[in-house]
Amino acid sequence: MVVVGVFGVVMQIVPLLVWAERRICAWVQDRVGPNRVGPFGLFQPLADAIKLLFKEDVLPDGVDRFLYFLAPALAFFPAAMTATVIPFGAPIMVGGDLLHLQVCRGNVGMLLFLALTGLSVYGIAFGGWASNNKFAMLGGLRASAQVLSYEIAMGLALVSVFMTSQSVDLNVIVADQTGTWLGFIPKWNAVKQPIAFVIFFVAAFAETNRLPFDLPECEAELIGGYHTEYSSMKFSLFFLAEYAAMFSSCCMITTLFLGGWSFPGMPSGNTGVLFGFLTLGVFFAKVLVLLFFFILVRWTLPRFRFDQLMHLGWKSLIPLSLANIAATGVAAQL
Amino acid sequence: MSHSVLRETFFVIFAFLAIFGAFLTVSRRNPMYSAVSLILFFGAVSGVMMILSAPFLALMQLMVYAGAILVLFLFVIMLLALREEELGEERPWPLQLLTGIGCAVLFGLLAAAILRAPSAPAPAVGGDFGSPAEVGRSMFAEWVLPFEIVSVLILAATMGSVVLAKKHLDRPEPAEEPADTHGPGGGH
Repeated sequence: MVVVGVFGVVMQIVPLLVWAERRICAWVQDRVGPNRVGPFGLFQPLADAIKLLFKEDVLPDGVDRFLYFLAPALAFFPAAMTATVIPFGAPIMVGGDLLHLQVCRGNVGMLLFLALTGLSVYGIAFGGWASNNKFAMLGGLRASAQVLSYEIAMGLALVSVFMTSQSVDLNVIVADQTGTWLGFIPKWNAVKQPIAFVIFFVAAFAETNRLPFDLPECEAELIGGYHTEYSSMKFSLFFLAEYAAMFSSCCMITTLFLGGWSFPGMPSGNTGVLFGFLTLGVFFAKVLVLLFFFILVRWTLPRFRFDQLMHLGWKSLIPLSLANIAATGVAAQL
Repeated sequence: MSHSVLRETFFVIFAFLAIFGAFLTVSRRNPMYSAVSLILFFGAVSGVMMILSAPFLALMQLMVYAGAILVLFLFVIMLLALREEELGEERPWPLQLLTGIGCAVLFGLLAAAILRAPSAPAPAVGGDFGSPAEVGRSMFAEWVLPFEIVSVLILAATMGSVVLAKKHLDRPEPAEEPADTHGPGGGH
């Protein structure tokens, strides 16, 4: 039941995100945005999806057929799988059984997240390579270099979080963030580990290929990058993957740094259904704020140059995260 | 279906996939397909580890080998972008046959050695075996000296590769090399 729920949420959040992206982008640029289909243009993604389904599926000349077909699926799979490790809310007591709002429980969930993030590059790399197009291939190459570089910073930022929470279990990390200081400052990891928070946040932008780090697809020099040669539903799968990855990343940031489903002043040990839904609401409220920020950044900042991106990753974020680990270790011994 | 039957079934599936992937890795002529097959192999081995209650090892396998090392392989393959004629001539069939026989003999020897070995019962392990905490404890408490030696070894290898790359950078670039072979990040 939870599996179906989580998959449904991931699939349904994407059209909403696309709609939100277009509306917020219009708002940033002082335009109106899609407003004709349904109330506030809410049905626009639906119309787009139908359009994409009925479009001709062009197979360009000289593509590597097997990898060309495999790539969109490989891109979508890790993005959708990541949501399985997230604890979405407090466990609910249903008919004597404790229902956990998390698909994949256990203490390796965090590692599964990192492994899937690493695998997410294959869809883009294969798509770029198989397309028989120089621009697409450059996009694929950029993606592999970028994801590889920022994964290190991301992993190192996580280490300091693990040190603070004394666990790699996401449920323990959430439990560790409950309570407040002075009655109003929540004990979130964003407060305890601000540097790790910033590093992880920046790396999340790079891992999801969002602007200012959308070098793999940058339309100015690479036309569309890795998905230049894709059309119809294969293109939509890449599109879906990007937004699903964005959602999963925001869920992960919320869980790791913003207290997950907990909120200040929360009673502990409550397993009521209403309380469960309340925590679910709190979780999604935090995620939505993050998503709004992701979209706002995309339409505000210009794009990095590729060497700047590499410098930021290797010469700033990685040394910074290493220093942060050392500082955390020293602080823990004091 | 009982728990152990399910376990056996998945073991057979993953073992088959691992062998299949390994075979494809060495038999494909296109290096890209070799890399794809290697991913399949890594994934399958990780599945086997998961069944053998080593989730930490399984995910590390995915993260380090499939997620990082193979991406580097792919990077190089894509940068080289070999065409069919650059792959070199196919080896003559007697050589292929000889290699096949050699592999079969090696496999037979290995299989015989494993089957002959006295089957000692597997040592009993705690319920926490294979979890990140348990792996960390044994690595940093019990086996800390080998661990540190390995880290020194890796550091030496890293420095060696930096020195080699630096030597290459100091030399002036050959003039006939076309400029467009430099992909993104090619200056590293």
